[in-house]
Parts: sequence; structure tokens; C-alpha cells
Amino acid sequence: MVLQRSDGRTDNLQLRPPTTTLSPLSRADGSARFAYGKSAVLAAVYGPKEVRLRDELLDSAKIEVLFRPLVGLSGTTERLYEKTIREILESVILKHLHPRTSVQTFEGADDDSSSLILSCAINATILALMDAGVGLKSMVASVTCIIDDSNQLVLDPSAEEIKGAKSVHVFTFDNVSKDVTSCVSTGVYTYEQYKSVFEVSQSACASVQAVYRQTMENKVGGVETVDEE
Amino acid sequence: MSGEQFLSTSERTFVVNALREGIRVDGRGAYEFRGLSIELGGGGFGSAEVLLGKTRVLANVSAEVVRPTANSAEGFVLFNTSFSPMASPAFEAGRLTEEEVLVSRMLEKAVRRSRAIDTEGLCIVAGEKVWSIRVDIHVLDHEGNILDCACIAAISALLHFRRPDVTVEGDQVTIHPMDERNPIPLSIHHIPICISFGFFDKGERVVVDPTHLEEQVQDGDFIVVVNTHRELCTMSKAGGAGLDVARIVQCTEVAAAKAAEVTELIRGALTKSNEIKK
Amino acid sequence: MFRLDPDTFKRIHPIEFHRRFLANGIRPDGRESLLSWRTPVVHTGSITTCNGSAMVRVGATAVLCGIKAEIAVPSAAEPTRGFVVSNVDLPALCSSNFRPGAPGEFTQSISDTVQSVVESAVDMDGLCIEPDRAVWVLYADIVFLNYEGAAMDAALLALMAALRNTRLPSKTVYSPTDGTVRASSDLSVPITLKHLPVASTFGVVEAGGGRMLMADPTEDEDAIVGSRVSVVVDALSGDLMGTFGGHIPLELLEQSVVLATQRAKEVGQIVGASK
Repeated sequence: MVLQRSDGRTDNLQLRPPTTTLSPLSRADGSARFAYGKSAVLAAVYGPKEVRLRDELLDSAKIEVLFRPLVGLSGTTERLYEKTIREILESVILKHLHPRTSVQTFEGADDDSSSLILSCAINATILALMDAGVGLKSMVASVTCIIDDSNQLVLDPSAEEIKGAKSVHVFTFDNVSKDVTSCVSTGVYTYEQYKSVFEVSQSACASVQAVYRQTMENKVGGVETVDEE
Repeated sequence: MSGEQFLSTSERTFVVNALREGIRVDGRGAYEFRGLSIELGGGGFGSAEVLLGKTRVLANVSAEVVRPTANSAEGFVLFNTSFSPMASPAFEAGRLTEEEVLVSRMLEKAVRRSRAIDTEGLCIVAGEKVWSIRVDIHVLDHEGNILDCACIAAISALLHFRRPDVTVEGDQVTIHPMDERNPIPLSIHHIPICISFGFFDKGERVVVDPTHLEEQVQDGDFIVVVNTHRELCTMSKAGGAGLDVARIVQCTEVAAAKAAEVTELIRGALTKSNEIKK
Repeated sequence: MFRLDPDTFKRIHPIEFHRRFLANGIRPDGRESLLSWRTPVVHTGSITTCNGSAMVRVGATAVLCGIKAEIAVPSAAEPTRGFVVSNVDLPALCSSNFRPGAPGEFTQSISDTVQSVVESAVDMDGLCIEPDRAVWVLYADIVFLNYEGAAMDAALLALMAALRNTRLPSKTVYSPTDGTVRASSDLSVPITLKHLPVASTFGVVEAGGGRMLMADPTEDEDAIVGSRVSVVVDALSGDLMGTFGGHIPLELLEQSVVLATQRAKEVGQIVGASK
């Protein structure tokens, strides 16, 4: 049976090749646009820069995340996205290299297809941080998966596919350890479904990390790989 | 503490001295606009991303059905301007700068109060259901002259926008989804274009479309909103150094010419995006 | 010999303070292991002006939920679907970590996660009065009176207990002539719940050379924890209804799901015993 997904893809596990743009903004220290299909997020990074006295941390940079939808008003969901992104950045940015400074990231989302936007935002922020030259412990990538109403696992769903889904899962993995960097799942699902989503997401994130590498290589003009010990 | 960098005196005098010799820092003529690029439809109908030089503004138009006020038969057009902190280190979330307030008010005057959009055409059932059109404007990159860029973005987005088709049968109002019936464009009477001027050296030098650097140096500004039929919609000279009356008339002439050029560019972008759809 | 009393030591060296307990596998509040939970106590129906209410105590955490039912016009896209609008409030009185004023990021994100879980739990079509004209909207206010950790767990528990306690009028009649709804004054119809979600929050701590789960962290323990995970399980079917986690190894994630499923059954019985 050939599946027909709403955007023409035929494979439930097919990840749309993401489109990335580095440095679209001129004033920000670093910026990047990341898109899965039509869902795009623009992220900008200012930092390390001067920190407000009340936020100053003696041994690390203060990380602030601001997420605003570009259509409609901002609400509690955006605060949840900010919290998720900030927690990821707290564990990924080498913040102890920049004590008593602040690193601010701003994300603007082009459409409101909810959970897919979170994955795009995480990825755009990581790329923007790399563009700004802020040191990171690892490259972190995020994908979204759903279990649709016929209990099929669908990777990288379109906005229409998310609407009717039984459960939506946003997984984020780094490229160094086997740990989960972040997992946000909503809806109703079984533990077996959760495990299969986990595995599919993990390998999909690896391919997104390859896209990061390619994007950065395009910027700096190719990097010679060093043999790992 | 503002994240904005302070301008040194040498930079300031450099800009003014160059203008005295008839040269702008980025090599443009006094009445020359920076490169304008208009991208439509990136986020569906009614989305426009405009690049004026390096200044980047995004506009998104959306529509919903609401109850009108009292028994009125007119819809609403609402503007929401936000200066994202990603545009400049001087913008902070939650704190409205003076510039932000001025830009959003000028945009309202230019587009809404000039009656560019036919609000009576937004009525579905008089007194019960009308369309409320919302224009969200996001400033993403501040390299000067946010106002002109935002105005072009807003008007392009409104021209590009299509609302769902509606049929009214007695009491029943059916809103057809976009894929069932072709959506309908808004009824727009005229296309107001905002042209900003910066003046220097006690009003002796006037330039159009100032960059961020020029805005920080200028003695004052003058804004004209005009359409391609040479009709003046809005004019604003709020404070700043005094400007000779003859200069004002000259600027208005320049503005009319510029408005015609910009309108052509907008029309070109609209045609191009229609062709892509086919 | 230099001595410090425990409270001072806790202030100055919070990580070391908790590490001493962790090394022995016990907790400062007297719980015997890293995986022991505080038992919740649930009282329902204490607010008579609400359609439903519940007060939950988990250790020192105390949270109150009140539900008021009102009539609203459904959205054109979903004409038979009612609404549940929940809001979690962590006011300044419940803990010194919260300042008066607008709710912060923590409060708003808890609000959002509770809202997303409850939307799957309630039968929204059961709240319909007249399709496309009138539906019930349940406004749930969840207010913390004292906060000692595990906000998500306590808030969701209070909300679910309050929903089970909620009663709507037995008869509602929509009159098309004037667009009003008439309801009888006796409140006897319960809300239909499709699921009974129970949240279990864990912290991930470094202990004994590796990382381990710490169940139900108190507010102090939460400050020294590296990352957290909350797992929401349906007490009725055992299905998962939400996972919200930060940096965590796969084995611990699996373990948290197993433990959360067990706990959901126990807590489900406590809620089931309440009215």
C-alpha cells in the first residue's frame, strides 16, 4: 500500500530535507533560519554581552530565551517553548567560559503549527549560536513525530497531520552521548509507541546534525576532518 | 542599560561633511532608495517579507469572523507592530521604545486612517458578523528607516491576502474553506506609500530612506505618505530642526515620484507571486 | 572543631548538604529512599460556590482547585465541543521563590502542560448543550497555597479530583427565540472523563558515581537537581498521556515510565475514593 501523505510524501518515516540559512540578519551577533517544509523559525543571538546587574551570575553566562510567534499573540505555550529551549541551552552552551555575561536568543515563528515549531526553534537557535561563535558542548538537533489516528508513526509531520494526531512527540538529541537532551510529548500513547518514536527520532536527529555540519562547512569553506583517537 | 552603541563625534561629522560634498556614506544619491526586495507568500496568503537595504520587516495578515460594534456594517482592520529584540540590541522585550510607538502610530495613520481598505466590504451580516482583519508587523532587522519598510510590508501583505469565501442564506452563514472555493482578495481603494526624509545641517541637506547611521546623525525627519495618484494621505513633521517651507514642497514632489516607483515594484512582486501559483 | 547547624549548612552548601543524604540513600524530609513518594491527601467539595472543588496536600505542598461552569458559544469549526480552561497560579504567598506580579515562565509552562493534558482527559463533546449555539466551558483555577516541590503532580491531581467532583445542572434547555440557556438549579450531572491522568515528577541526580532518579523532589531538592522529567500516566488504562523531560539517559527515562505507571494506579485509587 502506497501511503499518500498530505504534502505528497509517500513514506511515513521520510524526513523533509530541512532548509537552513545562516546570518540572514545583519545587526544580530548570529542568526539562522531553520525550516521543515513550510514551518520556519528565525533565531537571533546576541551575546556574550553585558548582563543586567540583577541577572548576573558569578561563574557562568546568564541564558535568556525569548520566543514570539510572528502571527497572533504570545501565550502560555510560548512560555513552555522558552523553558524547553532554555533548559536545552543551559546544558549545551559552554556557559562557564563567559561568567558575568548574558547570552540572549530570540526566536520568531512563521506559522502556528505548534509542536513542529518547537523543533524548528531549537534547531534554528543552535545554528544561530554556532553562527555567533558561542561555544557549545555538542550539536543538538530536534525532530517531531506523531502517532496518527490509525496508530501509525509519522516522522516530521506537516501541520495538517499534526491536527488529527493522537499524540505528538518532540525529541531532541545531541551528537555526543546517547542521552535524550529533551523530550516533550502530549496526547495519549502506549509505552511501545513511545519507544518506537524514540528510536526513529534518534536516527532522524543524526541526519539533521549532518545538515548542520554541511551548513557550517558552507559558511567557513570546508573543514578537514581530523582522525578521531 | 541600553544596548545601543553610542555614536562618536568623528562619525557624526564625517556623515555631515560627506553630505556637504553631496556624497552619502553608502554611495547613494540624496533621493535614491536602497535595494528593495519584496517576498510574498512565504507563510501563505497575506505574508510579506520586505528587505529595504538590510532593514527587514515581516508582515502577516489574518482574518477572523467577529461581532461588530453595535449595529454597524463595517469590519475591522487592526495593526500590531512589534519591534523584535532580534532587530537591534536597543530593543527589549516588553519595553516600548519611543521609536516603536511613533512607527506604529504612523502606520495606523498611513494605512488604516487613510481608508485604504474598504471596511464596508468586510461586512457579512450587518450587525452580526463581520471580518476582522489583523496585520501583524514584525521588525526583524533594524538598519534604518523601519517605517517605510514596514509600510511596504503591510500594504503588500494586504494586497496579497485572500480571505475565505462566504455565502449567506437567510440565517445560515457558511464560511467556505480555502480549498473548497477560491478565496477572495480584500477590496483596497488605493496604495499608500510612506516616504521618510532625514535632514541635516540645519535643513540644508535632505536625504530619502536614511540608514541607521544617518538616522542617528540627522537633525530631524519629515514623513510623507502619498499614493501613485499623487494624493497626499498623511504628512508628519514632528519636532526636529526647522525646515524651510520650499524644502517641504520639494520633498513632497520627490515623495510622489518615489511612491510611483515603489508601487510599481509592489505590483511587480504581486504579479510574480500570482504567476508562481499558476 | 568547626561545627555548623544543619539549616546554615543547607543555605551555604546546598549541593553538599543534599549529597550527604544521597550518599546514604535517604532524603532530608525523612523519606527512606530516592524513589519514595509523598502520599497525597485529597479533600473534595470544600468550596460550595463552585461546581466542583478539591484540595490536595502532598507533603507540605498544598493546592486548591475550583471549577466554575459557564455557558459559551462554541467555535464554528467544532460546534459540539465544550471547553476546559485551566490556569495554574503560584502566588507569592506559596513560596519565597515567587514574586508578586505577572506569572513567570515556570508558572506559565506548568499552566500550559496541565492544560494540554486535561484537554485529552475530558470528553469535550459531552459538554455540548446545543450544537453550534451553546456549550459548557469549565473554568478551572488551580491555586497553590504552599509550594514544596512537584508542582505539576499536585496541580494535575487537584484538577482531576475537582473535575470528578464537578456537577452540572441536570436539565439545560436552549431557547432559539432569544438565544438563552435555561438550567435547572439542582447540580447532579457529573462530567464524563475519558482518562484519569496522574503526573509523576522525577529529578535526575548524580549519585554513587552515576545518575539516578529522585522521585517527587521537594523545592530544595529541585534546586540541586540537574534536570527533570514528568511522566503523565492514565490511571484507568495505563496509557501515557504526557512526557516532559530534560537531559536524561534512556535507562532512566524507561525507569521513570515504569515507576510512574505504578504510581498512577495507587494515586488513581486515592482520587477514586474521593467524590
